[in-house]
Amino acid sequence: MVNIYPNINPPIKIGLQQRLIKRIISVLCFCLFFGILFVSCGSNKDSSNKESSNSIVAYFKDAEVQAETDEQRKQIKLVLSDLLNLKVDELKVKKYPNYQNNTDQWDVIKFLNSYFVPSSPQVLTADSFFEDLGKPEAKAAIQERINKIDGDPGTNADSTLQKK
Amino acid sequence: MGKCNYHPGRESVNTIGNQNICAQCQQGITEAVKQVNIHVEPKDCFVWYAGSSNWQPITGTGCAHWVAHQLGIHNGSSAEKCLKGFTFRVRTLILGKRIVPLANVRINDIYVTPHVDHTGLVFKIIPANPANNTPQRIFIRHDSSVQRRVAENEFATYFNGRGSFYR
Repeated sequence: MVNIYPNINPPIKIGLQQRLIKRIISVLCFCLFFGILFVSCGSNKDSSNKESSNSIVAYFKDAEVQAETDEQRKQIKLVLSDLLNLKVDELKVKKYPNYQNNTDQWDVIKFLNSYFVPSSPQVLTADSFFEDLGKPEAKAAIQERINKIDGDPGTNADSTLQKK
Repeated sequence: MGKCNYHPGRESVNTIGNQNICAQCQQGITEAVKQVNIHVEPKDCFVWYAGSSNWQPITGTGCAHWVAHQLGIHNGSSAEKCLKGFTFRVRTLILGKRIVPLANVRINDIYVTPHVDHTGLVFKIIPANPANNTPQRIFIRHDSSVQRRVAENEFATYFNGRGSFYR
């Protein structure tokens, strides 16, 4: 007998193989999708933790400076420089001018709260503030803020107005 | 009156803006309002909830907050509004507004410093007088941290003629 349909079986096998391959691919896609989802969620969580773990970084991130006169603006820059340059023990006792430029009125936290509006409700407390101040990420955030002010005019306008 | 917006397990005893407030929050708000800087107007809503039953005065000078109350501006997210729902950040205040050329400035236009860090309202304009070569004079009413009150100052002198007007 001559098999006039020599390829009648292989197509059935190929069909099974295709279905098997499709199933494997769909399983792989499923794993890949949830793998990526898991990794991305994990990394977001990490970065948000990093942001919020340092009270100074969180405070200055997207904070708005509010000041009425050049004298006040000059004082803000001086205080930010002090945050970078003074020792914590010096900062703890140092007093700064108030809104009316009366000297020796406010501690550093009262001063910052009087001029900066953070992007969300936050309270700087002395304990966390002085502890976090020595960390590199806090120094970087303060330096970034000084750079923004140096990049006048538009201390607040440069990044934020465009962003919105 | 419903449940407290900040502590859903507690009954509210008061409503401020559209916020239901429980007795503990009411007490926290009262204490926080006492700490609001003397020049800030209005004071009773210039507080925010910092978590863990902790109410604090909103930080900053309060200049935008005063303007927002005058003009009824509620721009921004809940994190950018006072207890009564008025905006307190300068850049959020002027969102969606256009700069007005100096010659076209009108009463109730918003004045903003070049640094976008202080704001006030135009309350008086004395038109230019070509007969005696007098220029236009613009007067700004603003919540002034320096003067410790809602003050009235001339644009050309107090603000050195610098800044922008928005409408």
